[in-house]
Amino acid sequence: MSDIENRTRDVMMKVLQISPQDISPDISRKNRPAWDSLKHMNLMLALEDEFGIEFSDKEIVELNSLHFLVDALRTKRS
Amino acid sequence: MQFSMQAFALRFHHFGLASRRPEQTLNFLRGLGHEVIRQVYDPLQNVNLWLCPHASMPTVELVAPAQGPGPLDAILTTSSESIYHLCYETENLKASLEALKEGGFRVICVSSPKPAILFGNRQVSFYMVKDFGIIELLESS
Repeated sequence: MSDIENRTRDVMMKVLQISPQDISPDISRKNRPAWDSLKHMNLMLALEDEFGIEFSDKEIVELNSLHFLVDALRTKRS
Repeated sequence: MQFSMQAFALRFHHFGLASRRPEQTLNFLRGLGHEVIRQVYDPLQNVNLWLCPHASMPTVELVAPAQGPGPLDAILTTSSESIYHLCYETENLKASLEALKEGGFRVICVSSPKPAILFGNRQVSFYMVKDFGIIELLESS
């Protein structure tokens, strides 16, 4: 698991208030009810802080899974 | 960073209070001296709304879930009620948002401008302001 994915998972655990075993590789807003719209905004803000980046409005809407988030963060930091 | 007064050109309008049991909440507000001057169902937000001004205290907008999914689902997960937004009026939405961003505030659009039936179809939009919370911006005309 990459450093970016590990850090993303840590932020998700804190913001979504879920345990490590609840973060499956395919976790998304569709399959995780605790990941609601309000927590999603807080998650995006927390990830911006963690990685020192800023998401666009479009990304905030579209990055709704761990997979998409990690991919986007890799691109932004490359 | 310091700001001049009215740097964002926003004027306080009301508190947004979400409740799963609006009748009880209304009883409390009436006990405080609030009036209910308007009650509507807003189909664009799928919520029931009551506008409750007061002679000497800030206006409260009571917001209750309607049937089916709605914007309060995420707000009322751990509590039956919550003051969850502050509403401000703006003469110029774009200029106010620019001023917030120029002031160094991270602002995320939660809901883009839509006509609000409670306010005579004036445009309202919602934003998450980091380190402050959710604000509703009500356009003056």
